[in-house]
Amino acid sequence: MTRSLYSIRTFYYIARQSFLNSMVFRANYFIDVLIDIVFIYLSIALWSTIFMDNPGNNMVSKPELITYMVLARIAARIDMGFVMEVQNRILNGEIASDLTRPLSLKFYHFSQEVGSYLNNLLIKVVPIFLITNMVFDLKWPPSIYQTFLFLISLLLSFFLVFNLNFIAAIMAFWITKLFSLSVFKDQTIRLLSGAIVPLWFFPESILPWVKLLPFSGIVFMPINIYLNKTTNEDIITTFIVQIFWIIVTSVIGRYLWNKATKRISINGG
Amino acid sequence: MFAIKLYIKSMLVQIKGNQQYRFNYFLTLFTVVFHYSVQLLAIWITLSHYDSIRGWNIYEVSFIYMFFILSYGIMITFYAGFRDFSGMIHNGEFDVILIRPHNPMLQVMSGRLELTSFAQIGSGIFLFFWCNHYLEIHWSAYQIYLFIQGIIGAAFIQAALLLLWSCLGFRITNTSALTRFGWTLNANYLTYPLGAFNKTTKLLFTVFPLGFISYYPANAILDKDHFAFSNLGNFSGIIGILFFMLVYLFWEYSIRHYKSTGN
Repeated sequence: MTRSLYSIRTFYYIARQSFLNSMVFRANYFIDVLIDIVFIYLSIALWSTIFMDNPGNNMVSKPELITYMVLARIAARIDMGFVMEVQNRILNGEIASDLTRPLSLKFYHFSQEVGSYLNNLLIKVVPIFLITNMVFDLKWPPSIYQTFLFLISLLLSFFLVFNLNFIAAIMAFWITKLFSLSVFKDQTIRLLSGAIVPLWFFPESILPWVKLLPFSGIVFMPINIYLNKTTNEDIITTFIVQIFWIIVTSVIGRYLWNKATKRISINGG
Repeated sequence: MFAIKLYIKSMLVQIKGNQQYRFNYFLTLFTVVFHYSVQLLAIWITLSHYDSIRGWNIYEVSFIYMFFILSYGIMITFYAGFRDFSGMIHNGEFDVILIRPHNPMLQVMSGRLELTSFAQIGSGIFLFFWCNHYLEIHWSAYQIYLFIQGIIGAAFIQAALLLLWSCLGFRITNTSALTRFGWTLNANYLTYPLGAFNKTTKLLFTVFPLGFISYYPANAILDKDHFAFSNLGNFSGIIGILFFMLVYLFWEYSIRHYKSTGN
């Protein structure tokens, strides 16, 4: 009991520190927000045109499509900052000193990422969404209950992305070309999660397979819940698929981590 | 003349150095091809569901994308030094370059020969034949001229863009956000026909000539959109070179006013 209380406190302090650290770079912040707004503007212009040019093919309404594009760009975080840090520490050997610490590496970085994600949500996602909402007709969730379900699914999405990123980070023990690792990870997630193109437009023949993969739970499914395009059964399926993959990726991550750390103890000395 | 001899010599050294890490080299090639394949797949998925964007079908949009990849590959082979330029300012390498009695731009270029650009050039050529097969373009001498000048112009504009970020790097220490901005803009938005955006955007990317990287030259060859300045696509080569010269003047100006961060 005291032990778990202790780790909750540790989690809180690390997360808070990371939250505050993200506040430091003000100049970067304004550039980032400006860039995001430009991209959102271009995305909306592009998809509105595609939407209007093909009146027969639309399975969603225009506000739904626009809202999807805005949320896909800002809500889910695909690339996490700790990946590069861990990979570099693995390559230059500093990871060995992390192993001697009383806190597990995964737990430490998880707490950090929670802090910076919350910061991101507060100072970027919400303001950008509100600014966009002033100019364009964005959709809001139909009820508080639906908003709550969306937030749960976004939370699960965060866990999933973290686990996938953790696997990519410790893959640096085997693949030393970090550029390749990050391209494979980011591009796969970006395409199959629906971050670039919504899964609505994927060909019917491959869609069921794509939905079974872990990636759709990162962007596509949470936004579908937000847009109320899901039945109750769909929502339950979404949660089950998300939780299933969170468990699988944790197990894989733990297995790889044990294997890697065993290797270090053999080589070190 | 002497400078060019030096440049070629440095390139040969680079080629030899590159052969040390065979596996990494092929892994990088594969990675780059993978990167572009995913981008293209996104376009193909969109355009197989929706039939066209402003009357441009899947092959025509891929043709625009081909201009972007091919010209980028050709440009980055020689110009990769400027892709990683902000690092040179940080670690003081650029200060060393400034005291040598040679042209600074040539020196930065000599530092890097990017042989992994085979991946972009290869993908571009593959895409070219694939589009060409479906589009049935009639290749007259004039069309070939349009193609070559289009690629040259596009390569110069992309080079000018890297040079421009480098100039801004003298003032702002962290230009990575800008570099990413330019990259995403070129790869994810400007490979669609400009007509898909609104009038302001179109005008903006005509004045600041990013539209001439891929849309204008592709439009000139495919002869699709006709509007007030659509003919400019016939001269994108000249426009690209002029834009590069303009940025080069700004580069010279920036060097003269450069104060090192070091001690």
